[in-house]
Amino acid sequence: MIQLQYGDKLRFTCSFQHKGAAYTGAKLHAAIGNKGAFGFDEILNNETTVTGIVYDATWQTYTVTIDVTITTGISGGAYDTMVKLMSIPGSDIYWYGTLDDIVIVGAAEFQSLSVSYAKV
Amino acid sequence: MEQQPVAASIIRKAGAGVYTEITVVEAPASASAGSLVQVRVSIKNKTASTIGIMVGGALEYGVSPWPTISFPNNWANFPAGQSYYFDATFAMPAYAVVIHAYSYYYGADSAWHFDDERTKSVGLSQVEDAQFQSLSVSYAKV
Repeated sequence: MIQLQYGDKLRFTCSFQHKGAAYTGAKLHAAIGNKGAFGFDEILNNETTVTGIVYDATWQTYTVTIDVTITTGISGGAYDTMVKLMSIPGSDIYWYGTLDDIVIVGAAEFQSLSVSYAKV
Repeated sequence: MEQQPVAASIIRKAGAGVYTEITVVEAPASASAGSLVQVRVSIKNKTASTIGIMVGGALEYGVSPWPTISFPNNWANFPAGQSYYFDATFAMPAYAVVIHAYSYYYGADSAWHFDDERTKSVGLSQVEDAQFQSLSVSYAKV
């Protein structure tokens, strides 16, 4: 479990394999949100275009990092993660993190002011 | 370095490979378009004396004239009976090619004379479409 506060960044280190012709335009999309029965509800995300994919005669591993900044666009609580490799030949390739592994510590909140008084 | 000519006494009308022999042309059986192809042409001095030997080459495919193969070092004086090789590279065109290598000897008339030839075919490899697999991710606070 990773605790994050507003202003922090969560860095996703993504690896995938490629072979065949050189390719431009592939994108990695990382998101924090909620994984549900009907898909992944993204709240914060970031995306990067993958460069430098050259012709590979055999499967070669590429590693790319992508940062998601924690903003006040997300409330405090536990969240899930998702990364997809997109804009590639064929279907997008998805990866999902452990459920509720990201905990956002929300902004400071105050409530329930109570007072008593007495002569001193 | 000065080229060593074939001795005048043994100059005669040469058929292919009288003084030199291209023993082998080394190149891959196939290559993909745009890739760099390495070529090595090995030549033997068949005479009993040191002579100057030069290499040349062309890529035979559907263009005219055939492009020449550029050998950075294209000649050497070969001791009697010795072999030597010349290296070159070329960018594979979008066609299968035939490497046509030539050898020349340096004559007493101070000219290069064609002597032997050998060919080697290089097929065109089809480049597979790009494929992707095995996305794995780790994450950490930074």
